[in-house]
Amino acid sequence: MRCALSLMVLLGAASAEAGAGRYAVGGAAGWMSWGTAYGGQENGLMFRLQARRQLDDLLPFGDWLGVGVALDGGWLHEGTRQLDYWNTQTCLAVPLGLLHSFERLRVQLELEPGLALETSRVRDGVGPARDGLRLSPTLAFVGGVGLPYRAVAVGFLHGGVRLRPGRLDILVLLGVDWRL
Amino acid sequence: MRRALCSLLCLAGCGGGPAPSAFLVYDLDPASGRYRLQPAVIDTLTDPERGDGELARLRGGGTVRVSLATPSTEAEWRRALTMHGDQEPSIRFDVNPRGTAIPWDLDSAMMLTLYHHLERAAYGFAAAGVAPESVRKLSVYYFADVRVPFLFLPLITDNAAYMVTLDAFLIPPRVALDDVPLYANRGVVAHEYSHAVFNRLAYGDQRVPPYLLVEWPEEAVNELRSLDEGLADFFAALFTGDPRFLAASIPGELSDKRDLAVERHYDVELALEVGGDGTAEYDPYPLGTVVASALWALGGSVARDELAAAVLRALPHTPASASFRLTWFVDALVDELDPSVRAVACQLFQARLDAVAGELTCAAP
Repeated sequence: MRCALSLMVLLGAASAEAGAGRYAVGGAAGWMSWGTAYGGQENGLMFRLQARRQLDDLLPFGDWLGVGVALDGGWLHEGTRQLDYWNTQTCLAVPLGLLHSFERLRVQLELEPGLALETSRVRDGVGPARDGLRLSPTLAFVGGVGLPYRAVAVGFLHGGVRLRPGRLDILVLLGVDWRL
Repeated sequence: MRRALCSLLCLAGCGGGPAPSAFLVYDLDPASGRYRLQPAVIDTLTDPERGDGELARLRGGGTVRVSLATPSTEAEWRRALTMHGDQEPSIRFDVNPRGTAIPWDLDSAMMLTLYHHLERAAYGFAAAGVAPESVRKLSVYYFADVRVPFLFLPLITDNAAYMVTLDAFLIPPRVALDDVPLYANRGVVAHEYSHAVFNRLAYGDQRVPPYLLVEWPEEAVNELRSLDEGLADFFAALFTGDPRFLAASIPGELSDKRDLAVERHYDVELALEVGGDGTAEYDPYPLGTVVASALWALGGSVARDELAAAVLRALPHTPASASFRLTWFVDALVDELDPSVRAVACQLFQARLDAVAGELTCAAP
């Protein structure tokens, strides 16, 4: 959360018109289904922090045009008794999209270009661990719904897909957004 | 759409790194007898990212649908299993400064390993006289589900198989086994490759075995299937140097039953099963292990590479007909051996194949 607030402050610093209700920060955790080499999916976990700024003064329709920063991390552990693979990805993305309120229900649809730092570690139970590191471009399509209570959107559910080179991951997250 | 977008990201993220000179694969370390990651050259893998090479073409996922109709003609048998929804794999690896490709994730590692083991099996058979060209390029369906209509769970998991009618290898998903995956077990891959070779040599490259098209006596079908399994186990042990090659993946009773170092006999009790069990209920492995363990024991008297070559030369001289007898193969094999060891070989088979020893025409000392 501290990280998300820092990101929010960074965004705010870029705006001379920052005001109440123009920002939202949030966190989420959930399930990330990792795309595999054979085209299937393997289940892992992820968490996410995000901060958004509304740009409604630019918007001809809807409530918000949101732009922000999201930082998430996910990991996948696979293997056998001897062979052990750990894969992680830490993604910094720029969500951009529509956030609309239908009375109590808040809906968002966003496109998230980003950059993922991926790591790989394998152990075979005999030799040394082998590590890999790479930076990959990502593109995610994320949708979400939530029920705000005053400034807090409790139970905000995000779902979407994220494309990495040669892979498609599926995200399902449950989180909280706090509108400032 | 998905593939196009992933490819678009690949333009920015995959890069065109140096071509690897070797691949880190999960292979048997002869020094320790354990499986470990080690660099290996894969000569015939022309497109490692897609798992495509001169010997095999890896395919990912998909579903093998099993028809509920009872096939009888060759055309119907070829339609009995159909493949749907498989896709081109996307194998990821980094190339280290030494030029070795380090697989990025488990499935990338396993697919490269699988191709490597297939290549080593093909090289083993090539050394024994069956060139890879005669087996031809085969498809390998990695993590394909096998499904029958109205059954919502996969029919097979934790296995590896050569499917004659598809002329392809099937690797169902790994679910329960926690040791060396069967498709990463070099012996198991050699075993399955041996079935493809057997199909070429024993059935004259006909894909559908003749006993599926014309009714044969159960004894003939059962002995022929056992010979197929026995030779597959023999070549698996030969190419790995391990008569208990299965134990790395399935330790315990099953690998004990297939241990080629144990002396086994085709006795009266087993003969009753071979002659009495219907082909659907018959377990071809016990008699197959008798054949395999006899060949393994014969390897103590005959150089094993010469023995392997003699086995492969004998197969085309063993007619796969309705009157097939296991002893036909044994006699053909003895004829293919060096004259100096024929008597020893004949004596060994007479001792191991107790129940049918009288049918052998070879001469023991």
